[in-house]
Amino acid sequence: MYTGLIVMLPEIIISVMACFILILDLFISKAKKNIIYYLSQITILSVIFISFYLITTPRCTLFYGAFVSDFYSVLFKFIIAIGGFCIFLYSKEYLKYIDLFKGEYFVLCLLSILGMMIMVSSGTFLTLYLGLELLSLPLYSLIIMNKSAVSSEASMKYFIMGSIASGIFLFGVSLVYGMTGTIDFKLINQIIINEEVFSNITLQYGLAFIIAGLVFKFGAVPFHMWVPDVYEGSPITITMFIGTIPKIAALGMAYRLIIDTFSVLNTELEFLFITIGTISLFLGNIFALSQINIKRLLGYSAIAHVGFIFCGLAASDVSDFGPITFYVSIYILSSLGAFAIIIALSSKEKEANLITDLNGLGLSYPVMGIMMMLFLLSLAGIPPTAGFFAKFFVIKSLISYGFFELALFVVLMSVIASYYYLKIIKTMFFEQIYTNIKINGMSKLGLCFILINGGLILFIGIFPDMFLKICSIP
Amino acid sequence: MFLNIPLLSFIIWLPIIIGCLMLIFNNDKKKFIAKNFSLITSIFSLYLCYLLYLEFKPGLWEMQLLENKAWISNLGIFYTLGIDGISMPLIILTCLMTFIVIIFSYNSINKYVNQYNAYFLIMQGLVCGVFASLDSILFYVFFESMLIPMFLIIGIWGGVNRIYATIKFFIYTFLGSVFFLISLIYLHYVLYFNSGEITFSILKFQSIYLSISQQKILFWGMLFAFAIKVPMWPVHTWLPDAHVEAPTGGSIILAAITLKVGGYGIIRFLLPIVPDGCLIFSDIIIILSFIAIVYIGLVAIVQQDIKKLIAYSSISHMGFVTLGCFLVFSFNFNSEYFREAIIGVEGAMMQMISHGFVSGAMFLCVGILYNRLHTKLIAKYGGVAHKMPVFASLFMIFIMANSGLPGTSGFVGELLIILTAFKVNYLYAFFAGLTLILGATYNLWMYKRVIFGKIINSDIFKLTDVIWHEKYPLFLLAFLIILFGIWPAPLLDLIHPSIEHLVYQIMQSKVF
Repeated sequence: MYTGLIVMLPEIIISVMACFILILDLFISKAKKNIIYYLSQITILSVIFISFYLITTPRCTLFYGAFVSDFYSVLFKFIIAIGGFCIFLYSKEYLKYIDLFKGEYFVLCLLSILGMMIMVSSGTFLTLYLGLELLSLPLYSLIIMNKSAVSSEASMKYFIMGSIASGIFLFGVSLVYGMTGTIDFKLINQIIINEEVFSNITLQYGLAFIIAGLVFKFGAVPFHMWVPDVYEGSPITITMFIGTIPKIAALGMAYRLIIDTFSVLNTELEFLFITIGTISLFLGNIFALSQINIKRLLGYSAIAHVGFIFCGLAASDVSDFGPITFYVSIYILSSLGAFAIIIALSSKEKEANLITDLNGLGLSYPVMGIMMMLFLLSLAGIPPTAGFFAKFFVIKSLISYGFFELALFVVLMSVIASYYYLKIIKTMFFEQIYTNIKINGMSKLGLCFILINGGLILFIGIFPDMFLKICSIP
Repeated sequence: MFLNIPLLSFIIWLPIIIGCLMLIFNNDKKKFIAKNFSLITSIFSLYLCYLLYLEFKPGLWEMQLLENKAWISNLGIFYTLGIDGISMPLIILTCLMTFIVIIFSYNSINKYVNQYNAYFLIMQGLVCGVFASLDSILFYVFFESMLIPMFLIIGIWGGVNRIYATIKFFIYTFLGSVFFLISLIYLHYVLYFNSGEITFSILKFQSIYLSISQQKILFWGMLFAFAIKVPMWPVHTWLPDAHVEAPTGGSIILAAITLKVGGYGIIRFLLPIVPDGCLIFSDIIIILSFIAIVYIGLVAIVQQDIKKLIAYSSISHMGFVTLGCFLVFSFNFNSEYFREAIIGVEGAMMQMISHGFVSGAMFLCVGILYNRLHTKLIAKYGGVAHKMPVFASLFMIFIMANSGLPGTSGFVGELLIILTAFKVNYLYAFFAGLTLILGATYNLWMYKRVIFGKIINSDIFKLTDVIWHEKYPLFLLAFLIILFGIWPAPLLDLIHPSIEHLVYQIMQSKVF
């Protein structure tokens, strides 16, 4: 029943709508730009519904294996679409302030989302690369859209580093192609198993280069230098975009590479992932301690979280991908909320990007303050928020794979991490109020969604069972 | 009559839900509604505790009033609640102390009243959850969530240096508890590989066989969490800071309840799960306890600040709890000394409950003085007895209880532990007995400087005696302290069967 093009309906809808909106934008006066916004939201909503219905479809491939639709690809699309919906909703009012409420903005975001979706359901290296570039190229231009000097620097940095990373990735792909003669994930897997080329040094080199591409997309050490600068330099709405849903796309890429392609090379990958993970955790947390810019702080904390994801990837396999998916989804949910509150506090004149800009939030607006506290505690992994169970499940699978020391290291790092989250809570609740704080960067609906977002964090923190089941393969 | 109601869940969730509802309203204009509302909630919790007491069948060691529901069913994590003679008194203590804090806050807190009371109610529910949970992950979730309200209480309503103190408190405790979490997951897998059972149940953990090397690792992993909470000597430094900066209510809850969570954890997790590990390291713990008792007692003598003095005396008294728990292992699993071992652990339990009353009352007294004079320095006081005679005489009772005078509840626990120490070693008994001298020294000397003497500071002339919301909590606590001092039998009967079972469990090796 679900055969043919219907499994790629989400991608088709987004690409058609993106083109349509791009043309429509030419004929719409500046006062009526709301239409563009609603059209984009409808697009995303329809993708949410379609992927919700597709989630039960069995695995199938299209275009001679170039496009794969299975449980995880649909689940990742679902999460990406929900994230995209929230991002548009949260940024709407603020975009008007900074004069970015334009058709191009939404089109570029939609195209980037399309890239992510292609990435998570790619079946060959070519599709993967296509998705990767489609994800990145709109982002480069989105960062620079407000034409400030800082953004130009950030965009330039991101662009150059991203291009180098793409080149490295392609070089790795060519090595793997040279050894196996194909770019299809399943075939590569078969060939590695049948011809027993595990210890082939060229193949392993190729693998290392491919992983480098993945590491860059995630923003882990040693390819992490762009993260804090891009987070700081972009307008806050774009920071929210970069800081959230591309992580799940990168997870999808990791799923394709680890589970579909190189599942037999697990021991080599394990070592690589643990090294990357531990170093990222350490550096991300240490650098985050001294930040005063909240966007930069969240950037470094993203590096640390990605380190944690890599540690978790070392202890994942096809039947056990639930915990890490749960972790990334909760990470996205929590950071979405945190960014949304920063947006809500920003005004026409000034982005609330310093920690001190949050001063007095907890006491002047207790509900919003408590919501922000929930998001931060969830990022720090403290119960009763969802972040605790996200960490708990991953640590549990680490121990079940025998990585006892790694688990100890990870939890010690989370103690260090708790300090910089507490520092923000301290500013919100404990310090003398010296600024007159105002929530004016967000519509009523957006504020309601922040409440829902926070309520969800608390709800999943108390009843994690259902959500873990959703994230695990049925 | 109330058998059909899940009483424990009610005791846990009612204050939490009401507290969360109160957080939504941020209006300091309607303070009295918030105050009365939280007072009613707290009285209702006490009534629920009374029902709990009626439902509880003394004389049984088994877990009672069990509640069991699937929580994260795939991973074997259940919402399991149940109480025995060890946890029941602590739950009642928690509700009682929160009640006292809420009465006391009636006139002493003037900003963000809603939030203040709400955080205490949430705290009460969470601590009851810690004492009542029989699933280790449930325990851990409550154990960690407890940090958040306390963190906010110290941070928002605390003194000048509150931010340093509260972050230190949070990070110290968090550091300890992550090791505990790893130990729990490790235990889970040991159980899984031994018997194929997927569970996090504390009772299952207690009956699991473990090799010596496993027990050694688990011992330190779990001890670290509880040693910080108790707190034991080298990791105690967060406590004086937190106490000095916390508002009066925060200090009371911190001393009377959260420290007990550490002791409870030792009794519930450490002793029954890793008895051989405890046996191997018991000498170290006993020495650390003596350092806490003697050295910290000496430190308390020279304190300039009343709150700091009481904080150090708390550490010294909690040293007795760890001493009582670990003296059991000096009998080397020799069943001849079964009775003495029981007395030791019972002493530790009595000491915990009595310390709950006494330290709570002492911090209450300091709070009363602080509200009037806004200083905690001993040197600023003197001659308070002339102006506040009722207060002075009540304070005397607490001072006596804190130094372990016979006739007060402070004496019972110390006596029982010293009795056990005598069986083990005269030297131990001597060191343990030193506390009576040291305690009397720092307590009475402080009392003399604050209450007696001539009035030097002119502000003292303006003092007024205690009013109703200060007087009645003090009377209540004084009554309880004297009651359990001269007639500890009801309490001992309540805890005896559970302790007996516990000691029976820990007096045999778990190595197979």
